[in-house]
Amino acid sequence: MLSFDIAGLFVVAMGLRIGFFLYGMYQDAYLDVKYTDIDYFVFHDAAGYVSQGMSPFLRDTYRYTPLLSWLLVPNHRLPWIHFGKLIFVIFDLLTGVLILKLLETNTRRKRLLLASLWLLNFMVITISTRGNAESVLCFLIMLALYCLRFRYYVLFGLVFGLAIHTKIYPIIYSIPIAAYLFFQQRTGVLCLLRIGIATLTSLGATCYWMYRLYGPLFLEQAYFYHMYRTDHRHNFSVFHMLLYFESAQSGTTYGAQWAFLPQTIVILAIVLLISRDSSFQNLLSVLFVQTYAFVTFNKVCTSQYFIWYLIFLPFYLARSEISIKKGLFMAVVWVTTQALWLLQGYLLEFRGQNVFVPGLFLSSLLFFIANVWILGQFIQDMNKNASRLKGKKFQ
Amino acid sequence: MSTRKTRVTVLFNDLEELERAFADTPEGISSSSSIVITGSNQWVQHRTTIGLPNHFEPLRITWKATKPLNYTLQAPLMEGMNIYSSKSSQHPSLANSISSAKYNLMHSEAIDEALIREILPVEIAGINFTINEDRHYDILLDRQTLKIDEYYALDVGKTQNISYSPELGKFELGLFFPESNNDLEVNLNGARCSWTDDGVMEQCKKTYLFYQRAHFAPIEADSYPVRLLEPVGLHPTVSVDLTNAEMVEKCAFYMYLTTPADLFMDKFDTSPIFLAGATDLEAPEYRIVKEVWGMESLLELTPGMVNDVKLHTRYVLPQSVKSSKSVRFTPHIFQACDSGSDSIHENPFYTKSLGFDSLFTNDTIFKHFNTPTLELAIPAADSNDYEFVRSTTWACLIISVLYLCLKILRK
Repeated sequence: MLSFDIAGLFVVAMGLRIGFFLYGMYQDAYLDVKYTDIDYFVFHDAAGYVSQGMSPFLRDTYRYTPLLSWLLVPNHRLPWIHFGKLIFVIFDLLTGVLILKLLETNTRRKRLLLASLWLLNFMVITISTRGNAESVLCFLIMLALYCLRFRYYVLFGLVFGLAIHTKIYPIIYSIPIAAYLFFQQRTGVLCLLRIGIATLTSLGATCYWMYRLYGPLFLEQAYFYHMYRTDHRHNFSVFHMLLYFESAQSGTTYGAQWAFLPQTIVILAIVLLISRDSSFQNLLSVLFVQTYAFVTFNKVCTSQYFIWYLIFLPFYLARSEISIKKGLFMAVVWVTTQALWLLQGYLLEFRGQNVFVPGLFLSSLLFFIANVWILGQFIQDMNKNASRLKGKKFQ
Repeated sequence: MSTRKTRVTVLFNDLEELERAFADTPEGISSSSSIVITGSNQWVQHRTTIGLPNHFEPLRITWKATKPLNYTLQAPLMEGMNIYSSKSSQHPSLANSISSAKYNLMHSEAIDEALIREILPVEIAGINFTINEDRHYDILLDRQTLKIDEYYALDVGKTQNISYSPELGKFELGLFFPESNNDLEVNLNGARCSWTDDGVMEQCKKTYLFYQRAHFAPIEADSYPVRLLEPVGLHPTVSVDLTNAEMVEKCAFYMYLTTPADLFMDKFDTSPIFLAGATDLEAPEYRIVKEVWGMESLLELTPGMVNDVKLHTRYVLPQSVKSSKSVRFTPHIFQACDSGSDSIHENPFYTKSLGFDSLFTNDTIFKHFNTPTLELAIPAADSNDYEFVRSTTWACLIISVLYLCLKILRK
């Protein structure tokens, strides 16, 4: 039964999204600065090629799975350029439904409050109404976890494979998920194998299908490009200045090659947290922390990457023992260090000031340190939680 | 064997000036072997034509000095040195050229005499040809002919002695003044003198030249301001104010723009008619220049409004002092109209060849407006900071990894 308060939350969530969507159409029509994301036009143009039976990769800088461009084909059939945004909004709302379904809290009020961290989050709403496809991926990840939670293992594998096909990074979740399944005594090695095969089948099948349709350009643009790119343009990443310097050097440099190492060490070490508490709710917290670490240590980081961990934040907070006061302080640290970077970014990008060193460099370093400290607090909190649970068990 | 001809044309400001040249020449002009001209900004075209034994692919080299051009005797030249080579030529020194629609285009801000000598036929070594940076050049190689046009104005007050010398080959001199002033039509009145092969001047013939010109710069050329919007930042916008311009039938306004690889245009947000060269939307300048020196584009502008053309900067090489890289480019604003006459590009002084005008039909006439050189600064990192950045980044990363591992391991 859909109860009154949940319905109310969704009505407000929907209303906000429609409001942002309509405002976006207004801003696009009347203001110089467009509301619609630049990438949305890439999707839209690519869908145009698809609707004429051609390859989406004919559009320069289309570097995603062709499936995303298929979603936007109605843009050209209707024709209504904004249609695709509505699809992204629907995925974004469905993600909210799944978050609500998966949340386990003591009180109903807390559950609604935490779900609204996603449903009423202005950042989330802005991202999907501007036409960013991130919400499709978020939905796939949540759907996979929903299947996992209710033990539709094969289905989980199929959806998870599709999520990896859509954007490579969810592949990092396979290790904590495998560890979770392993520690859940109920599932044997055979089951793990079955899930693995389902995942690989879905991933392999979608990739093969796209390859058959669009040829090597699909692999080149959708995958290899993301692996070999060294994005030297300014972004939040702590590696930005280093990569800028090293991309300009003629000899071999090690920055770009070794940048993956700290990231790998940390996201693998975080899997250990599963061994302390192998509950599903803890898995969601581990995924939160792991994604947070992945984004923090990544070679490239822009604000849309923050949404990757934001989907798990409600689950983490549902179990967190961090005091409100400390939590607020952590949020302030995150916001201020980010704002400091944004100021430097603004001075460089729009004022043309030479703020690379120290301004931009130190502020990205500071943002990184802030994120690492925040990560440390999350991990400490999870460890406390785990030992408290253990204590309970022994009593 | 190569053959050689030289033709010098002096364009006087008026009849009086022309007559003075005749008067200044001792013994009268017809019995002299040289002509003395007192400088007062007369425009000179010095053309050397060399007949070659072999066939060559079309090639055009232009150099625009800082002085203004004269559209009576010459075609418009783009800033700096430009080398237009045929699409089929594959000269290794021109490997970084932009592959444009009708030609390959190489550009440099400074004149590169060594390169010019390298790509021209070997016969160039045989003639007494030196490049003077203060003069304009328009060098055209086509099939079996190499034509070297040098343009300059005579310095005020200085006397110039024009005379025959054997290495000039067959020598001809034209002395003209404009009879009437009209944007489109050129009426030149004057005389043509020729020398015999043994250096004796034959009689000068009174000559009258009439032709329509394809290029001209109207007096109101500066009426459409072109500027960079402030603050420039990393996404400079070239703003062309055509508020006072009117829509004319069979005419359209255009911007022809070439920029070094430090700048690029996103064809998806600017929609140019034509864009060639470095179109990558992400790569830094120092990667791009290994392939191509820059980009070339043609955009249609709308009269009656301010036209904004959005450009983007690329990341540039870190420099040894904290500074910015200065980048200059010159947007060319012009109006192109259909004249209905295909012979519009035929005149005694220049022909339509490889260049931006080859992107238009043969009956097009061009009205050139002001072409200010815009300059902007792209911030560059200081390469002395590299060690500091590297050690700080890695120290920070290592400490962070240790800190997090400790946090994970500590229960």
